[in-house]
Amino acid sequence: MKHISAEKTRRHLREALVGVVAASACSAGISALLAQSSSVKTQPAAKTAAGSGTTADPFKTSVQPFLSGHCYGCHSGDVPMAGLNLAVFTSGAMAEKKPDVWGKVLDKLKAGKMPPPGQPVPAKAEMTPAMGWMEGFLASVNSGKVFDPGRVTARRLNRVEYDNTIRDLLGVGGHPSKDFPVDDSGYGFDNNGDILSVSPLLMEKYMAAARSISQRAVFGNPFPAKPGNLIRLLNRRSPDADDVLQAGNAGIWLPYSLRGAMYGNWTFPVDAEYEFRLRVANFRGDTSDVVETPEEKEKRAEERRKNFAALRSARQKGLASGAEAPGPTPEQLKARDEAARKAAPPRKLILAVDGSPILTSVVEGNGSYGYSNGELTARVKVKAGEHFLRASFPELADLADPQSNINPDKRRGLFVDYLEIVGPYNASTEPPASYKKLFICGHAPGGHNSQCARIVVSNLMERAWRRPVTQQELAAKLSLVAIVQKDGQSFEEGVRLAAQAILSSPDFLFRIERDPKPVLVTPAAAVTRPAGHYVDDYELASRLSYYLWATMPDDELYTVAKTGKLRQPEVLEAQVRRMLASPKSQNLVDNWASQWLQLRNLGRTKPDPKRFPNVDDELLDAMRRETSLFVTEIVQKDRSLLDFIDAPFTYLNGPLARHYGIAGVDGEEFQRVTLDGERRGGVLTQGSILTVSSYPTRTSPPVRGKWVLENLLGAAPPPPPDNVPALNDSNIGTEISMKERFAQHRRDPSCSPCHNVMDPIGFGLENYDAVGRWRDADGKFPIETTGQLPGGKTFTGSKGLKEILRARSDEFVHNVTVKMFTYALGRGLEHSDDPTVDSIVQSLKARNYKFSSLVLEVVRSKQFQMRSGDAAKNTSTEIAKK
Amino acid sequence: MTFIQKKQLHRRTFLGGAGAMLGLPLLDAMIPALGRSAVSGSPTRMAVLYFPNGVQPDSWIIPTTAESMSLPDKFPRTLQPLEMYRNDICLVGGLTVDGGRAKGDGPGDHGRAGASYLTGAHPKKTFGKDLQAGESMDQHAARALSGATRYASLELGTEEGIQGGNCDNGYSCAYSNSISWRTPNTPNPPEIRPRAVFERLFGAGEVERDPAVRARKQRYEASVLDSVLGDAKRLERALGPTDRGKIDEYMTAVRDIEMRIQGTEKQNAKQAVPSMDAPPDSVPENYVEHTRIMFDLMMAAFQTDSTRIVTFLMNIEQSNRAYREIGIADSHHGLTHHGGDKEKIEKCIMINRFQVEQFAYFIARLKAAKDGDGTLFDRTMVTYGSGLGRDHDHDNLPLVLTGKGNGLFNLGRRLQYAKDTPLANLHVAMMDKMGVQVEKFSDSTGKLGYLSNL
Repeated sequence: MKHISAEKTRRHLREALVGVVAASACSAGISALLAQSSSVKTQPAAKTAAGSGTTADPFKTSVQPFLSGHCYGCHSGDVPMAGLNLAVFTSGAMAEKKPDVWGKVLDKLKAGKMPPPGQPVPAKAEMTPAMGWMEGFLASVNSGKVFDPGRVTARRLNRVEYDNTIRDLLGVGGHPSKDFPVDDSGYGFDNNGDILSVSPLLMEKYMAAARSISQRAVFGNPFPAKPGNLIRLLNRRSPDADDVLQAGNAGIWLPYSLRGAMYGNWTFPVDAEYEFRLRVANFRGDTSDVVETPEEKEKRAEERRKNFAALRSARQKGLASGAEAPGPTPEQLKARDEAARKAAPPRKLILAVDGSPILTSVVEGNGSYGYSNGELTARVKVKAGEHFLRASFPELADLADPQSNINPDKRRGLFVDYLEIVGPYNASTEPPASYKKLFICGHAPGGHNSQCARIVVSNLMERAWRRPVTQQELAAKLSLVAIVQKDGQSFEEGVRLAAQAILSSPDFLFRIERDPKPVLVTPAAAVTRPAGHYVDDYELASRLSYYLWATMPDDELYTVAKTGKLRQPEVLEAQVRRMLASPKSQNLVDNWASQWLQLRNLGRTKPDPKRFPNVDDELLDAMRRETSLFVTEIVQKDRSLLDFIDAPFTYLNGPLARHYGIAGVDGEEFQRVTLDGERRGGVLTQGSILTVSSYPTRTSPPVRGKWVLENLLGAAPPPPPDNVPALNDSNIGTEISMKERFAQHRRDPSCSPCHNVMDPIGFGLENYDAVGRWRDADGKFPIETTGQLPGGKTFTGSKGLKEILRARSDEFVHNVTVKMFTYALGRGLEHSDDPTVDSIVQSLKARNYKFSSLVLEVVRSKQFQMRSGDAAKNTSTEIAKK
Repeated sequence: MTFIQKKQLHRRTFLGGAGAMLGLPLLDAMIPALGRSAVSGSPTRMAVLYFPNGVQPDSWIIPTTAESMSLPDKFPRTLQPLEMYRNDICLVGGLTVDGGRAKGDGPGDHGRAGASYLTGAHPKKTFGKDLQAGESMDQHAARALSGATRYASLELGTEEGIQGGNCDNGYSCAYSNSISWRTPNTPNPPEIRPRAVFERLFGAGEVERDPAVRARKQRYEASVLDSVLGDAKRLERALGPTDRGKIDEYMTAVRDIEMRIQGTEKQNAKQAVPSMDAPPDSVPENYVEHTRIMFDLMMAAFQTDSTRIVTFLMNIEQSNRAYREIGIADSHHGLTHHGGDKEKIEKCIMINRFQVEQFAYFIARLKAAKDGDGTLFDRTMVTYGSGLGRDHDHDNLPLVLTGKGNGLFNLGRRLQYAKDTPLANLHVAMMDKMGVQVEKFSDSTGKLGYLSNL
């Protein structure tokens, strides 16, 4: 016990002890985190329990009786539950051979999951020494005597990594992975080597993608020989239709915008001119579709019928007699149009590609959707690849109430009806950019000599596989070029086929790391050096680039790896800082932060459009963007991790600022906004988080409480028991306040242990409704945000909650570190990683919690730079048996 | 009329017992009971072509005073493109879709016209989710004949349907988006993207007609699979057990694909190959191109016997399309509410005539398309018409028949039926020719007479 990580051990003990005191099936972990009990820290339990006694075997005296009394009932015999036989451990020496077992047992005990509900709860006097032994033993394992850097399983590229890698490798965009099945995630992230698998369906998609990508890379994107209508972008299935509103599935095709905007990405096949054709639907200044009573409706319909019949018969008579047909005169029609035009203000329309306007117009009022005005068109040059298109009415961003763009019949008064892209005109005849990336031997197309194949294919292989290739590997792929050429096909087609094979290969699809001795770990060696090996520089470069950029190493990083100097501390740090400053580090925000904060769930179930009619897809996108820009500033400006809890700034545009009730922010563009810290500041007060932690119809204090515990403090409460009935929420706000309803709930002893912690936290955020708007009352009941945590500490509102979180910054930073480490390593953390996490947390404090220091500490860790050999038990004979 | 009781052996039933014996030729017993005696070697096909917004009276309707059943020397303006095919068409007047009439529901003739044309139903006025029309004739026949071909029916169109609620005075857009209805509540909207139709019929990817090229491409695919399996085996030797587990997964998946490719190779020898290439992956903006490619797809489907029933919505009912191809920038529907404006009427006629020109192309193609010992023209029943008549009404509908339909249609003349003869009587006659007997369909009063004889 030379290097016990004191902080960590204390924490575990604290949890263990409080867990015993609480003696419940739930709250061991979380009450410990929030209880204000400093006395626990000084408990000497660790020494007495775990100290390697000189006279007796503490395992026999402290642990075995406990196991025999509470565990052997299920976990012994020929067919033990969960395959775990605890009765085989008859001595400390035997027990110490299986640290993993004790890690799991300790986890179950601490989480209150064992003994299972219904079984007698162990007495404190039994449990404390048993858990104490496990703590002490695991701490000694972790103390460096048997350092294990961990082993990440060969990681398959996930969809984001695949797309990014193809883009950087060949310049082929357009999200080739969009048809792939969704990647599973483990430990909260979708880059987990153990979880990511290859199904036959996915393999088929990989084969098809490799065929299509190689084709496009060599011969360019296919596009029609003659200009044609390439795409018609529509606001399909919008809530304009009553039935869709009821079904709650608005905006399936393109995001639905109350303000009539249309936006999305589209991939242009070739450098060329494209014609954009846009039609505006414009039905303003007319209220004839107001909702009427059935009687009124019938009456009006009857009048219309009569008028219609009269007009028809008059016209037929008139036509028969050769006279002028009756009906409104052209003058009358003109006057009607003019009145409709004046009834609504003219609005500016802008169509922009990647933010640059290519078409502007002014739309005047109209009483009949104005389709007869036809389309607006613009023809511009566009580079091949993906571009962001947005057609909108910027003035509408500042509508005080977006519902003013909604007519009584629920349709929008003004919106972009469709956008068509026609082309390509005057398409470039240059080979695509990808061609130049591929055919590097400098000859004109068709003029390649025999040496080219070797140069071109080996270059592609090295970049695609992210390492130098052997002559044997190269020869195997060159033989494909030869097969094609023997058939009399072109050299380019040969390279294409080789490229298809290179992109379908496991060497591309997996991030393979090679072990010098793949199978065996020699514990004896661990005495003098770690039981693992450093990954080579190429593997380290891939670890870095997939961690920070979610893509392959760029030329600079790869070149540094080639020199063999990447592991030198100053070289490594320079590369990390360069990579964080690059726009590609946006991937860290989009993948790490958004999964950590569970932002990918935002919009999966949309806020109820009946209760929150102003929350359209565009506003949800704005919420996402606020958090993304906020986190991006923390990453790129190297701010403190504590800014996540509270920060005096955020990013807003006109609609989101109005949603929050913040004045002085106008327009569609996002801008940095300084906050006074009263109502807003930090992720907890951002609409994205507040919405994702609510139900579609209302807030849920326990859900928000759980969100804070799980994502900020790393202390997720266990799931509720299966037989919990749903909360009766039908009369909240009308007959009973939310607070009273939950107080009733907490009186149930099976609920109280967890809810006593979750609920007060959630109530502290009750000033924000289910879509993140500020409120002072819920229905007829005023909001009451003062709460008491177990241990007696009281606080009020989000400010009070944030103070508590700041006071517990150690736990918050510990949790952020765990999330970052998990993502960076692509594996779940184990007990053996605890000391490293603890030491990172310690060192961050001294560096003011700067974001870059977290990343650098992670990158410097042995876990990130090393890899242990595989466990020896799983030998090749076992595999062969499969 | 009596029901034919002879039991038809369902092809799927047969396959169920025969296990993997796919690709067998149709057995005689599987051809619909009565249809067989009528088809004389090659099956009868049916194509219903629909154009929206009705016609202008003087430019289409031939005065009804003449008793003669012969065609006039000079065709009305809209029909002039058909003059050179006078012996290949039959001009029909007098048929009515009563279900399209208002019946107290007020305006909304476009919505009713589309939804009633093949169903005969009087659609329920709603733009909510409680749609109610009727099963359409093509779908009734398709259901009865299902299993005879790979696809029971094909629905084609040239204009994207309008999504959302109210399209025509309280009628859901669904009513004007589809003429085909699978059930009274389920419209069967058309596909407008030629590529999607092609891929559905003949599979995705490029079609390679040359067997040598096809074989070569398959050889290349196989060598890619070999090559990556080689990579996987090399890795397997070099990796530890958990990593090797992942590579094993990969190898299993690759072998799975290998087996499937070998299976396809065997099938390929028999697979029908269409007479056309895969169309580009975009929707043609030119109406001529768009309709022609859809006609070509229709014929490819018939020739490979992929389906025998096609409906083609040559723009949705109440279409607002502007026909820039012939210099008309106004919306078609807007023009038809011309209020007597001569210029607008003229434009309407130009549009109607332009569409008839496309129809004429189809006649020519049908006549040139070989089918067994004859042509597709001999085997196919084609109707070209609209559910709207002259003044947004539903009687004396414009209708042209073409194709001999294995003897059902006697061409080169015109037929004027008594006022208010249900169009459904024609549906009954056409379904009957396909081998689908119904005593009554919607408001039919019998099988439409005089089609084959004088």
